[in-house]
Amino acid sequence: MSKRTLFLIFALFLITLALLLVALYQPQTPKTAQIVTPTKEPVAQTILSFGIPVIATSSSAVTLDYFLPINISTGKNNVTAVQLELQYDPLILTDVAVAPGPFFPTPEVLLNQIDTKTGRISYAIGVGLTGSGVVGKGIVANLTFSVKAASAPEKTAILFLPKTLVTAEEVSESVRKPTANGIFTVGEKPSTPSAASQ
Amino acid sequence: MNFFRKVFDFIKNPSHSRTAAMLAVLVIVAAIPLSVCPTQQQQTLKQRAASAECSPPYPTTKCVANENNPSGATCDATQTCTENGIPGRMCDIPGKMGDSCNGGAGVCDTYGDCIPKTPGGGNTCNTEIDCTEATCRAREQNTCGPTSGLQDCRYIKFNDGSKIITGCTPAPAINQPCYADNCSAGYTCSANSICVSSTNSSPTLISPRGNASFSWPVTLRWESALSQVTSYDVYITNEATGAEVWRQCAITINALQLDPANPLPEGAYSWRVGAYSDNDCTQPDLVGEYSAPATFTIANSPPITPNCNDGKVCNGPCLPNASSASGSCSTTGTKTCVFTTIDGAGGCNQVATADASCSTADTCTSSTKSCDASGQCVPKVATACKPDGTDAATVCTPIPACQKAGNPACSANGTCNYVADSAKENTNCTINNQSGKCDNNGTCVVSGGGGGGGGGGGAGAGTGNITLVLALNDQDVPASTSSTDLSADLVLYNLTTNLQVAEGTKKAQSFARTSIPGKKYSANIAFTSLPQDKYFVIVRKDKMIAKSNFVVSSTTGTVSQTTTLVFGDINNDNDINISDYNAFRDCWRKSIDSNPSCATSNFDNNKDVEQVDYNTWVRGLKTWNAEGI
Repeated sequence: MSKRTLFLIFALFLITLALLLVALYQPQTPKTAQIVTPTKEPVAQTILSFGIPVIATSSSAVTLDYFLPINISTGKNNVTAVQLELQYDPLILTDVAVAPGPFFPTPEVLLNQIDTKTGRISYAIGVGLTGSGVVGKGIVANLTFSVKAASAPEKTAILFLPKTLVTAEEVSESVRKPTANGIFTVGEKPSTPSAASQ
Repeated sequence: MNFFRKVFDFIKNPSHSRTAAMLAVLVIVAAIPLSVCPTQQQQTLKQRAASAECSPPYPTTKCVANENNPSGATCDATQTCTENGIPGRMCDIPGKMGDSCNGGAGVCDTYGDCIPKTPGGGNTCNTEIDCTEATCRAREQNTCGPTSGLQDCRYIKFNDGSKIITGCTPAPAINQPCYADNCSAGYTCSANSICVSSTNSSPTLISPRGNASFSWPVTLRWESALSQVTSYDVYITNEATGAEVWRQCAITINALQLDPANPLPEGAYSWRVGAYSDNDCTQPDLVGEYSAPATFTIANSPPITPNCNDGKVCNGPCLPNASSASGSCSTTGTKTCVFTTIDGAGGCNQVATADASCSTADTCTSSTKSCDASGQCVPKVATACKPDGTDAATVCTPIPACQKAGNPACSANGTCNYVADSAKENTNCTINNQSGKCDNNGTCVVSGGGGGGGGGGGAGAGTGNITLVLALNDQDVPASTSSTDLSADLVLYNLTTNLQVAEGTKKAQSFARTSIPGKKYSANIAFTSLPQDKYFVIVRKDKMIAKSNFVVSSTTGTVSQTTTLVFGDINNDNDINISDYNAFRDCWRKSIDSNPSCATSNFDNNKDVEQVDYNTWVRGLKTWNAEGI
């Protein structure tokens, strides 16, 4: 085989090698073309709601003492604190008080102010400075109040005011989803008090 | 030229040139990779785009701070992400990293590729319980149903709301919130979503327990997984004496608030609960056993309602024959105090008995009755109260203290503290000795000229010029502002819309130090040409804020208010609420040297966020809320 032929073969081999390298080279950046916009979940997933008012056994002939759980369902929020700003009718409901529910394992009451003249409840409860956020469903607080036993049954409302807030870990704004207010009929004794135990 | 001639010869007669044949083979060899490789690459890209199982990196995605980014990733000031030295790799990338792929057999990695799961770690929670990433996610979405032993997901949450499952949290134990039946072994999730003992032995006491301190009235809560329970027997024992101080049988609910009107004395107590299959609480019907006792302390019990019979004084504890401060309840002889409420001093505040007859107006013991001409105690005629609210001759609608003439103790924000009532609109009221009218929101609006700067004119129809005479106190004072005049920033809001008002907002306001008790600083603030509406103004001095509201209802007017500068607005939104608590938690026991963003939580400026700061924040929240808007 002549030298020219060998040179030709060698030159063609180099060209082939170069073409192979070009073909196999894969830059890192073209993946940008595949951007898929993810579906964003809403941050606010926590729902506060009223349970069913039940008559406590401490009720007397003069007053009916009610026990109203305030429920929470956090969705995926790691809830760290709840601030309840409630409005009630002070002419119907008396002896109003709020106590922590079992939702927070070691609840820390930050604020508990009830204006019996205006019917305004300001109640804040948190997990504590070192506690972890809580996910799940449960009773975050229990509202107790009395009505006159002799009064005729009547409807009354308890409202979540706009300043009602729920905070969660890693979220700076409130994670509370707006929910309906509670409208209850009070002043009548249920025929089956055991219903209170759900 | 010889080469091209040979090529030409080969084309003309292929069998005559061995060199040209070699050339053809090489061309064919080169053509194979040139055509096959790009085709394969294109095919791969098409497949990835079509499946969308795993998202690739997003080099152009902006990141937010350095929080929540994966290990090795940083976010610079221009919101550019760098991961392990490669710009534009990961930070704050939403999408599929950590998701299951390939039908659950794989997991998306940080580059958007589906990689096989690592058995026994990495992508699984632990080796003891089958709680894989896939089941975690299903559990989190509450779609996998009640499968015993599953645990809750633990995850890293990104700024955009996306999360990566990193493992599982321990299953909730006794007294902890639960759902379905995710409680630890030995416990079951009660109807009230609390883990209770699943052994059929005794009720579980939820609260109070652990010698926790409570104010009266105490609410007892318990749960039970016992079957065939009809009622409960609950009793409380004094820890010091061992005596049973309260007991109630046949309770058919799982929570009970003790009677607020019959408080137990302050002290340590324990309580127990027994479950019964009927309502008579007799031993044969006891289901299982009584619970173990749980302890609690009553730390704040209201004073025992005084017995004011037998000529004792009922203002405060019933001291025999002592004079009451007010005299209203000081009684002798046949008079009896009937008190429906307890006043602030712990005494009664009402005297009432049903007198049948009387000789003079003074002999009717009931404050709601007077002696008529025939010598009978008859109900007093209901009339409107006098402006001073102290009408003794007639029954009148109680007047809020802040409306009484000459009473400067109006609530700090100037409101009259009663429910908005259109019927009370235009009722005379007085704040700081200035007469005004109540609006339909219970706010005493001082009208007329007076007080600096109201009469400047220029207000158009529907607008007004108002002078806010604002007195400031401070709750926790930094040394720098303790002795001199005070300069603060003002921000004006519309109370109805809660939006900031541009007109009339003062950027800076000087408050002069005063010697008046309860009014440490004072300033006359003139707002001009404000639409007639309700407003509130935020006063900000460094880390402290105060608020005051007022109403513009006429062309000119003056409103006097007193408010308190407090710490607590950590997130600078001109409000103090649990959002600030959330921010404070993030800085708890941190130094501002290493966490400069925590400076807003360091109220005492000692460089550490600790208990003093927390106490200050709690005080601020309470004062802020009490002063209301």
